[in-house]
Amino acid sequence: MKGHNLKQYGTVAALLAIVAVFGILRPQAFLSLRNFVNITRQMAPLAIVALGATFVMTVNEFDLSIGSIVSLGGIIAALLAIRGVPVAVCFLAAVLICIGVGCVNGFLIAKFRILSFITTLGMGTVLDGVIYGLTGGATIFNGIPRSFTIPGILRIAGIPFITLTAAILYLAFHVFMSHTPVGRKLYAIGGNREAAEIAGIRLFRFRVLAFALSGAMAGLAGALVASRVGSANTTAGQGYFLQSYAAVFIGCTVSKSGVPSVIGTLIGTAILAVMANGLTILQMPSFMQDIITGGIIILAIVAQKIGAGR
Amino acid sequence: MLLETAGLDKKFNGVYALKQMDFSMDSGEIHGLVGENGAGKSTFIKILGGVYQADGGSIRWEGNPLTGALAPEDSRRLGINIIFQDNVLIPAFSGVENICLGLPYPSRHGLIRWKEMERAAYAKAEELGIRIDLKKTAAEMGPSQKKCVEIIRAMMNDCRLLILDEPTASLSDKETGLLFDIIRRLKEKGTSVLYVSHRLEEILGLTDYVTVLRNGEKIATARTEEIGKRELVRLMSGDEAESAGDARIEVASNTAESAGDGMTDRPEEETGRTRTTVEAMVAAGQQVSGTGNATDTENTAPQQAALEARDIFSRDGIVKGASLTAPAGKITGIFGLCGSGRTEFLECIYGYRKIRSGEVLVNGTRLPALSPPESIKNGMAFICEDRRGKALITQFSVLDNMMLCAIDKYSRNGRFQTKTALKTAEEMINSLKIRCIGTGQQTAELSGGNQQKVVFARAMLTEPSVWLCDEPTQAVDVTTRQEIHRLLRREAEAGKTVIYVSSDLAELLEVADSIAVMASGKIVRTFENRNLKQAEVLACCYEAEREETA
Repeated sequence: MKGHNLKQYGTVAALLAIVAVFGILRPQAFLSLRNFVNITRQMAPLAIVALGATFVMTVNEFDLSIGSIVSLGGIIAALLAIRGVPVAVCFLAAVLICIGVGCVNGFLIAKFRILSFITTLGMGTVLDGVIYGLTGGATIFNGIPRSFTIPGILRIAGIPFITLTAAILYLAFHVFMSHTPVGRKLYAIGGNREAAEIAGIRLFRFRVLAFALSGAMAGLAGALVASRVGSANTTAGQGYFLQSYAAVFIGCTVSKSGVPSVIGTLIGTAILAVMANGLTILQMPSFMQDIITGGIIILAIVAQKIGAGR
Repeated sequence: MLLETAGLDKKFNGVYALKQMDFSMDSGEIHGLVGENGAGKSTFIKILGGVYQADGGSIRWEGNPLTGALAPEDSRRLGINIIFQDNVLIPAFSGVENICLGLPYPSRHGLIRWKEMERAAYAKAEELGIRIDLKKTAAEMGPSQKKCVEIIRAMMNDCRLLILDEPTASLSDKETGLLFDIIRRLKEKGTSVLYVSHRLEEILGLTDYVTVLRNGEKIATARTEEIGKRELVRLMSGDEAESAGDARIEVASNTAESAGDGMTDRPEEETGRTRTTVEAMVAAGQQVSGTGNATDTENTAPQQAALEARDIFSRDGIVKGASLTAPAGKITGIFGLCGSGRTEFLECIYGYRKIRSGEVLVNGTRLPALSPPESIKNGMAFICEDRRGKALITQFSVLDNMMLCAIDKYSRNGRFQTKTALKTAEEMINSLKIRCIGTGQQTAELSGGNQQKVVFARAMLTEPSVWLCDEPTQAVDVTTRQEIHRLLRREAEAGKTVIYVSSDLAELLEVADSIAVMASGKIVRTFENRNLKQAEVLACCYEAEREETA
């Protein structure tokens, strides 16, 4: 039991250690309230995407199309915005369409028992084609109304709206995953699918749900990113797949039995975001940032294995 | 009638797993279901549980025909609960949550009320007289604790028909007794129990009726009190029963050995045959392991300790200073109650479980480090308790599973010799009488006993000189059980060392030359198995446990 605690706090300790190192190296630039608020804003889209990845990993699957869904969400929201659609409707439409994509993923995987890896790889390619068809490959920025950028830049009592959105989602889904029947059933499916099936849990329904939630989160994140930068890039979602799953993997080290968890994913995302922020302040070239961030991810997993004592 | 089936059929890959099954049972009836490996027992109960859909036939429940496919949740709604041979628990969930899985979660405003769940689980555990820590996760529990959790879980529903598939396979005698008490209490309340087991004593002692299956077909249903063990065995194995079984096993031994050594002589006469086999195997033993102490083919087997474990402490603190001396040419039994560390001790010797201190000697030479590859190199073969979890890669084929330890041996110049391997695997299938479609069949599709034979085939391919067997006959049928016993006895007679761990004392008294008793992580005493009584061993066991707790 002691080992578990060590392991659980190990990941949090690593996060604190990273903060401490940057704090010592660049106390002024890094250790300011403003920078911390900045970090939460920077990490919010990734955090939201990673939340979606958490659901999919909880049922023991993968969603490789998640990056393309992020791009799609941004493109849809932006395309509607330049046609004068109210901003709330733009966001809603982006999320709903991305839920639809997730449902198709989940349906194919659950119904035909295809590997999620392959299904979502195909879906990602399909979506990339769709995005190109919608935009002709060009970034959408002409004619985006000011109102569309409000969610991206709005601050409430000094806290960015994006940060608040992520925080509310994390709180809600933490309760959802840990304390509601549906969340527990997702864990049951991931823990032992046969056992879950025999226990009368409807596999089909919950696996589709996991992918639908993943789509919803990715779509929302895409729309928020488009709103923040005031444009929608066809490749805006690139890199989100690896980063979000890395966050979930790091997060798995937080839970007692190595399963994904909402809090774990938050800590995982925070580690990645603090690294990116700190290394930028240190003016580390971006290739070095990649090397160091990748190394940290691998280290986290190795440290967990060593901590587990086997 | 509570349950009636008529003409149930189920085919896998064109082969009948169950054929024209007519069956019925009443409320409050305990009905035994027996049959050899692949007789169709598992298939039948999985159809009742909604796991498989029957290809044909009909099911009536309380006289009403069930229409359409029976899904797992339908079956549960009717009140049919199955406790499967393998634990089906969510590893990361606590006992409490596993128990409540499949029930609606108690919740308020959509949030789960954990306290209520805990109360319900503990109340049911108390009612059944099971005292275990339900806050531990399933991953942290041992086999018997997991079984207890499953039993509690099954009882949480309004259970009309409880189906138990080999429930005692991983239980100690005490726990078995407890389970029987529960089953009898259920019967009094009008719940029916369908009891699947290979342990015929249990069937005879517990059930009202017994149904015998063979090759997917029902052979007979009889009142238990009107049938004896001998008759049951006859029905299960077919008319030619025991004598034919013996002959088959002897032939099996010859071909199995000749696969490796090119020895093919098969004398006609029974005793002569045994002798030749033994000599052939002694020769093989010398070649492979170079033990040099197996020269004596007469009954006085050599006394040198071929395997010695000294003061083994496992890193997790379960094994606490266990020592064992196992001579070549003998079967050394290890008996212990659940939680005594018998499995863990064996795993330490094999190097699968990490040790803190202690040493293992093979033929007097201390092994520098304990690890499975080292152990295999030193001639050990490990038959582990958790067949589907740790022994087999169930999605792999029969061939791939057999070759798992011998991949290097069957490779030349970096290439795996598929043809040679295939030939060997086919010989193994024939000699061990493994019921499968071919070397390419997934082991997941085989019955428990046939899976165990695949595990043994794998071990034989490494030509071991030390057998470490943990519950090797767990959940296998009588014939396979006898085959395994004979195989290990032959190995011992050929000068090899056999360590046989079992929770079934009667079985150990039957097969072992000596019985080491394990309690609280230590070997407390070793008995020579001469006129040894169960009571004697058990007394020693309980005494040691009591001393430990006192």
